[in-house]
Amino acid sequence: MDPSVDSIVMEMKGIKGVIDSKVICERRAQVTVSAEAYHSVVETLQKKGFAHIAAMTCIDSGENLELLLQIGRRAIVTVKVILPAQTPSIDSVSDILPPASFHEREIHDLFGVEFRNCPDSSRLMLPEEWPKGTFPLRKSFQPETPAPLRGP
Amino acid sequence: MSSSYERIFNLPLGPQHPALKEPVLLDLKVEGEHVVDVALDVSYNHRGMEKAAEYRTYVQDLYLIERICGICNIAHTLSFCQCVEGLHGKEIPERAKYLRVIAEELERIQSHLLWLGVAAHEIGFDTFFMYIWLDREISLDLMEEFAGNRITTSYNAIGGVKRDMTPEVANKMKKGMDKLEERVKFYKKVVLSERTVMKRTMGIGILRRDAAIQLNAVGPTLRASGVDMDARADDPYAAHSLVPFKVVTDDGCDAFSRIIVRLDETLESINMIRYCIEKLPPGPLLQRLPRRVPAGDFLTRVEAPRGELVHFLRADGSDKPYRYKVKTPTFSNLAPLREMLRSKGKYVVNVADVPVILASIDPCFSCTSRNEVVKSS
Amino acid sequence: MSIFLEACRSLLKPKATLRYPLGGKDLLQIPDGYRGKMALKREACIGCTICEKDCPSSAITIITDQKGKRPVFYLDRCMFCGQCKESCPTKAISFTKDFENASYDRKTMEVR
Repeated sequence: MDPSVDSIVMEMKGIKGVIDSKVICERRAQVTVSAEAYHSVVETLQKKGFAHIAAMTCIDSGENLELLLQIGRRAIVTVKVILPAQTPSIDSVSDILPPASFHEREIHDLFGVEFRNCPDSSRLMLPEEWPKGTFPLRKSFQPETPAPLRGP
Repeated sequence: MSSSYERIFNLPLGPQHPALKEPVLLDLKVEGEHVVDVALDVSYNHRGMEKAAEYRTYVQDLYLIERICGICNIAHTLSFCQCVEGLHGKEIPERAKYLRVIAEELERIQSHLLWLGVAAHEIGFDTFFMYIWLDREISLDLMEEFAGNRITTSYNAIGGVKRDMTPEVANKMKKGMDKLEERVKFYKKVVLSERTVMKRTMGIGILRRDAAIQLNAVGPTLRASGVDMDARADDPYAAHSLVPFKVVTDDGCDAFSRIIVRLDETLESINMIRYCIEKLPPGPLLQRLPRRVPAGDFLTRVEAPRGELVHFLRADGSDKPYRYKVKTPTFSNLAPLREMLRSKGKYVVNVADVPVILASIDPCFSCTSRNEVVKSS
Repeated sequence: MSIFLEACRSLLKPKATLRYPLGGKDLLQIPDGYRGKMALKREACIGCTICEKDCPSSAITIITDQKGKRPVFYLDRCMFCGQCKESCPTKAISFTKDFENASYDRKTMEVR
């Protein structure tokens, strides 16, 4: 059983590297951390029972990339890290949460985030012939036919 | 593992339909007949859904998201609608919540029966496969009556559901559920007594309880390892907090218990549909919502037939999503699949068992690998 | 063993499949509310163009006839999702049970 969202949010507030910690709604909380503290915060959460990765999302918000790790079974805590879009690089958490490597490989393919110490960084989502250094889910990537064609 | 074979051999299985009719490459490392390791390649089915969703309005996205998966289309649209409704902060009408549960459970029945048929085909038991798929038609016909189409149903709408359930359809549904219950109970009897099924699935694809938790397995794969995790119970949505049901688990940890869990879940879904028809509250179906969605993040979890489905939406206040993320159940089940395919100590995986193990997680690779943009001509 | 008995019992049952298309269209029972070929009630249409904006597959184009603006549906691109019917403020769009829409010529696949 996961601990309640309120208590985890209060506990997270004291930890070094935690920028912000808040309850979003019922069974959802968000903890914003610095890139250096990301690994240790995830480790703390894992020890508290947040060991199930619901999803790992990356969002291109212009100058920065936001990495969101959503973990938890009943309640979901989002660990948010802001990375520079030019050289995004962060510690891999696959030593704490083994299945994270799949999520990290997906984000590496689609957004170009470097995960340090990721056991496997080969391509997962993109085909072999996809050009290197092109990240399709970044906002700078323009698809050829973004919307359905018009007309008969 | 001690073996007289000195050489480890690479055996590519796939990408053309190693088990189900979906592309995946299993690069097996075999020592004689035994699989020692596997590398998975799922990058054969790119459709660019997440990117394409950013270029369409929310109304149009509903139909794009529906096409992520044909079989679990209701689970996907339900998640999408919940994301949008959540950002609006609006509750949908009570009747729509119940109708969503009926649609979702009906979809679970047809998906589990489809899977059971495929599993029977995989283990070389085609008679069983034919009978199951014949009875699956009952659930598909009911879906057609209920939602207007057999597979891509377009049933959920942002703010509710599109169609009401008339008393005639409710009657047909009740009769269909009686018939299906009888048949599913018969199939359970067949599975428990037929030697072909037991010989091919017992002790195959073992995923221990602790490994299942550690590797984040989801859905029936996890519940067959004895963990009672179900998004419907853990994180109730729609009318699931009001509809009683039992989270089905089994301690067998192998492919056989995955069959049992799915059969029991089908029976559980039949009871849930009956309960919902009985308790269906009167009222409106749709709460109209504005086309522009307020800025914010929303994460929703739905128990799709294959397991926990996570959708994440970031809206920026316009009529198009800023970022839409889908995490499908099969994606979570990739790491457990890799574990199941590795021989370890006394547990050996024969090459002939690989399709059965792959089928036992009920994979859906076209949902999993959906995020690239394909050039259209 | 139980499946063997089931197979024997099935020998006495009627066929599970229908002889479509050889037996004719009437063999199939199309349920009410099936989304087949669409129909437009011209007198109800006010030419608001919402259906064109909402169509997820761009299967609708707006043309102008003697009464004003109206939609034209292209069946070759339509995926029969029913959003145009949902969006229509005057309920001018409806779906018929006609499902045999295949044709050799794209030009015949228009609903005007």
